[in-house]
Amino acid sequence: MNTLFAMIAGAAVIFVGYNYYARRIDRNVIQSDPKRATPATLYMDGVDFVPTSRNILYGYHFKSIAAAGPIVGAITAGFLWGWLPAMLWLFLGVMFIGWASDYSAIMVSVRNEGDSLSAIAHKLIAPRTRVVLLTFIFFYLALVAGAFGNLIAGVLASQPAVPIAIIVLALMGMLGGQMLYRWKVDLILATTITVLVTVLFILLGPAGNWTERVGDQTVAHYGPVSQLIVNVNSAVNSLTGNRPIAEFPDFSPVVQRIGEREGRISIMPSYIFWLLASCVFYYLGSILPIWRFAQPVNYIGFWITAATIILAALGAGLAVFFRPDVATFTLPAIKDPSLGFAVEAGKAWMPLWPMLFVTIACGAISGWHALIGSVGTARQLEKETDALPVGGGAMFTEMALGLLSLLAISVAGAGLGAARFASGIGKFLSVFGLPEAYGTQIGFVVFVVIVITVVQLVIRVARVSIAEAAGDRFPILRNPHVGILISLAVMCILVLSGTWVYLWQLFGSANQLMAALSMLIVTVWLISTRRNPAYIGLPGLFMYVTTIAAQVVIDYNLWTTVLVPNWGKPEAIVPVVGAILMLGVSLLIIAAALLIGYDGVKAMQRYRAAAPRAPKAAPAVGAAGAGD
Amino acid sequence: MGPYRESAVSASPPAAPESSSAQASPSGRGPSAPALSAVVGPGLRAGGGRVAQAAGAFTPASKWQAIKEFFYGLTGHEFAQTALELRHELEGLFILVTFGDIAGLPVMPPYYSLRLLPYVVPQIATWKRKVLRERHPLDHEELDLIEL
Repeated sequence: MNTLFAMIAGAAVIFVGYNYYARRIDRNVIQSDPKRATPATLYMDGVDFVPTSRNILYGYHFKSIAAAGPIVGAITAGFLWGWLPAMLWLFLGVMFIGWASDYSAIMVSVRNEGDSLSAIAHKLIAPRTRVVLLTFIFFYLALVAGAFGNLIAGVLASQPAVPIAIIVLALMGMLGGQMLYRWKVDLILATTITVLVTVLFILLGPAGNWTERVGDQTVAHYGPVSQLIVNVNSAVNSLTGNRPIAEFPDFSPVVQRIGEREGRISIMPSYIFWLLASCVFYYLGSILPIWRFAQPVNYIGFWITAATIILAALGAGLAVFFRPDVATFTLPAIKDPSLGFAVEAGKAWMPLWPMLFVTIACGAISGWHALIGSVGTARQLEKETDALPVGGGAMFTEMALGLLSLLAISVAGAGLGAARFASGIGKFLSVFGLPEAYGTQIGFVVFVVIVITVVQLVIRVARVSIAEAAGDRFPILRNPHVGILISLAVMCILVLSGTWVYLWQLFGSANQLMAALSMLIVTVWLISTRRNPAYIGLPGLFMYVTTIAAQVVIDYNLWTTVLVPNWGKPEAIVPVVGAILMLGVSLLIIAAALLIGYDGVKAMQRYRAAAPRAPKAAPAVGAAGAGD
Repeated sequence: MGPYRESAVSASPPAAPESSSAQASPSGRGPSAPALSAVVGPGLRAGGGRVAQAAGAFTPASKWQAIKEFFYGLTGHEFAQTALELRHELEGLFILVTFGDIAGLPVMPPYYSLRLLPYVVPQIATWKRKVLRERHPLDHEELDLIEL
């Protein structure tokens, strides 16, 4: 297998899925009507409800849904099962489930006056569904922050070329916000200045770094910028005489902390230092006005990641002709002939079903897309017929991003987790003549930029959620500093104590469960309007059963590999506490899902038993009233 | 800057009926359209790639227009949205202080309200629609900035 064949296969999936399946559903089941008024045209308020061109919305929606999720999921799944199952799930998942979930969530919102999914659930299913969904989302955000925060601190502590880029990104973000919103500088000029300066420092970070073999050891030599960070790390580590602050067994079958030894986690002072430094970044992103820091940082990060990903995609396609050694897969197609179904005592059980389907989350299907699609995109659609190219089209494009990540780790020769992704990006960039080691360093920077911009906003929304959920009862939680510190504390506890792969899979299953719940809401809506719900109901049922089963498997793994063998052992207290926390979150998520599922089935029975409603004429554009 | 269309719907078949002045116009040129243009600048224009498509003329020019709009959606659209949010917050506060009695909050002597009335009339309908709409935590405008 090589990268070109994989890209052609991906393009074929997008073409066939979009033209021969998605369009048919749009035409025959949803019956989108360009003459029917959308919430944007009916309730235009100049802020949330603004009719917007579908081309703009396609770009906007794609940017909103495509980031760290498809990249990290594909990397992890490639390791656990090999590239073939991961690629098949990407293709089949997006073709039959992913686009349907995103598109339908937008359409159900459009037909219900622009209400968000939780408001529709409140109306169609049961009042308590909204509260359960909100609780569910808080834990979901905590899991995202824990899983990503771990990766960021690990890369910052072990890759001396990366921190300078993140520091400059933060400074340029603040400058960009000032230029755009205060100095009223033209967007193109502000973009040029801030992005170029950030790129300059990204390129300066690894400049002068090289390695040499001395005997059987590799000795690293650093350029001036990286040497500065190495000196900082050495100074911090000297506080404990270069001894770890804590050391405990790692039970993860996938090592993600860069620089850690397999089976053993050593928390060095430099790791804590960079964890706290990243917390300062998140704190700024959460406390400052959105235009001052978080949004311009995201914007600059977007240009950097987009440029790298486009170049890497071109490199992946061209490598077959110019660097065949780079284009050939080195990752096995199938890692274990038993597909992970064989149970080994004391080892993590990773059966292909259901675990693959939650490990690759966003590249194939994601609940988060449905959520933001119903809140943001649905309120800007100018015509109903725009929902498919915007919602469905963006999801098909996101699959391409997941595929590229999978290709990157499939061709990378060595490394683990983020390191393997960075190595793959370095190989693809080397097709254009960039030294591979240099390109790898850029791959690391891009990886951290993608992930860190997500976490700052997750902490921001978690702070708002805490204030709104408990602020009336505990007024101190309305203080933004308190909300942020609580969110950061939860994140740090998960980062330090959680077993990474289980944390990621918990996040993935919560995400996929949210997708299943959004499909349940769409199914109930279709039944209530007397339409055939099979195209969304069957995938929804599959995802619902799969994700609950995945939660049970994760709980089993936590119980058998972390809790039982280490209960009462003082040296393993940290992972045991983390496992208890994750088990608690998992059980809460299962309970929430069962509750919503029960209410959903009752709602379906209620609507099926109800007398058929008289068909309602579609209001024309400009007429008052919307929805079915 | 932003390729928002001021008359996209009315330009595409079938022609939309005119709505009352109290309602937002489906053409996107409702009462708050002046505020929109003030924020996003002179880039506001009529027509666009979609209009050409609707008329069956999918020309190279309309393709180029579509590409430009796609990149604008990737880059500038969220800034325009944030600018609108910031402006809405200020305007909302101002209207609440001067015309709070519309929402049952009389806070200003009528003399000043009457002096300001001509300036505020174009905004009142959309302001009421925005302020009185039921909201819940997941409606938070920052939610869609989280990219996953």
